[in-house]
Amino acid sequence: MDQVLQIANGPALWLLAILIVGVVVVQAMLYLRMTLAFSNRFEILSQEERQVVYKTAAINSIGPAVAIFFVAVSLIAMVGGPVTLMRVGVIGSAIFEFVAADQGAKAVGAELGTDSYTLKAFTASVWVMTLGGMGWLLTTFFMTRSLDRAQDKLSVSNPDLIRAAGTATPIAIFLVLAANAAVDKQWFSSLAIAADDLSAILVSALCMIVLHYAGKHRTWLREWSVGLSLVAGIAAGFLVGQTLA
Amino acid sequence: MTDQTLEGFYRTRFIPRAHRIGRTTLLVAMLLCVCPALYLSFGLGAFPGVGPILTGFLAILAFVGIMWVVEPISYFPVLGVCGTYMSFLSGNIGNMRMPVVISCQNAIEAEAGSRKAEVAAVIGIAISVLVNLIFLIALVLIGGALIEVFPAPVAVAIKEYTLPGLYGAVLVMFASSASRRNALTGVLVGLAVFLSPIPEIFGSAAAGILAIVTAVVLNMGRRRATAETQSA
Repeated sequence: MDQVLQIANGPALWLLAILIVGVVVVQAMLYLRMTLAFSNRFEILSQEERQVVYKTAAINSIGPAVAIFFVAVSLIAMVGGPVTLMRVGVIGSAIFEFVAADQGAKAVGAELGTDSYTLKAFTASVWVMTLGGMGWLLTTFFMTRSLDRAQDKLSVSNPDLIRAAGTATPIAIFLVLAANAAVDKQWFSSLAIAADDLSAILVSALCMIVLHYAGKHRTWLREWSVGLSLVAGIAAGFLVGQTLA
Repeated sequence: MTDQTLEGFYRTRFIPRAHRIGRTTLLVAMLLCVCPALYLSFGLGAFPGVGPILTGFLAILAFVGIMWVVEPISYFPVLGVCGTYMSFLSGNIGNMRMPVVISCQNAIEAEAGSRKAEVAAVIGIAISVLVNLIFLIALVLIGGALIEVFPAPVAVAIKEYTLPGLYGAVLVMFASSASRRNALTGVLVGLAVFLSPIPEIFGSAAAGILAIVTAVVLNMGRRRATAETQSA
């Protein structure tokens, strides 16, 4: 285990991790530059609006980043810093990487975080995480152009359809995510509502509704609204959880 | 269309360039991603054999295989071209990119589907990618000790309730930016998927695809209807 972590935190893997993170940063910078130039050329966003977007993006990234951080902490203990950085920084959902690492280890009869986790087991984990994550890169690589073409064709002939797909889809997705977070169900056999998760959802949703109306004429409030609702939701979930415990 | 107009420039310059950047960076990333596994296997001779790798891979394939195809489709209407390339390279889409996109569009009151909304989305995602990396790098450099800054109950609360809290707020935000008709479509599709026997891990992806299909079906019919009334 110690020997594995030594290699897992060794210079070769660090170098590779830095390169991969480098690609992510370079890509983000290229898109940022290109989009800012596009926006300036046709005056799509005003100077002020641009500042608002910067601020809003930064503020609203902090909450989720802290949550990712907590999952990544336990992953570091298992597979080391570099692999965590490249797997969670690239195509990571930290939870998926956990499952993948675990399945890789199990396939060679080892268990994460124990002495049975040899270098071979670690390598198996890395393979499974890599192949598992590769799928998204491949499909994105091959499908994005066709998706763009399909959307472009439809947006000329039927802009209502594009607007409907763009606004109804995220609502359906987040409704299911929220419902699954609050309700534990087995189809037609059992159903359990987690009161603490449900109150986190409801309080943050309620907070968001209030802030939405209050923010109509206050830009700064709109910048903070998701962040503030998130804090209110976390507090509510925690309080209800404590009272029930 | 010349490339002097906004739409002309967008189609002839912006989008082709966006695909070029996206595909090149994804290709480089895919090659680099395999390097650690190759290095461990053949540089250090710890190759576990094809069998165990396949066993482990098949175990996760069951639940990620469908996601590979379905997720890029279902998030595309919101993320757009640049956003899709960035989000699927850096991950954390439902829990970070989507909330940031809708917050940014909302903050400048950009209408869904407009170029203004798309520009806001690209800037927002790029910033969120950088912020996330700063946090992760701080974590791996300073280590788990960072987490001790938080008192234990706070740490538990963040771990347990960030996602539910985020989902509630983001759902309201998306709903407030949609027309009543589209919001209702989304809610009904979401409920239908939730109440169906579709397993939880496929729920959000299934909801995304079904919502796109429903939007297409509803609006195809509507267009034909208006065209008929116009010709009548």
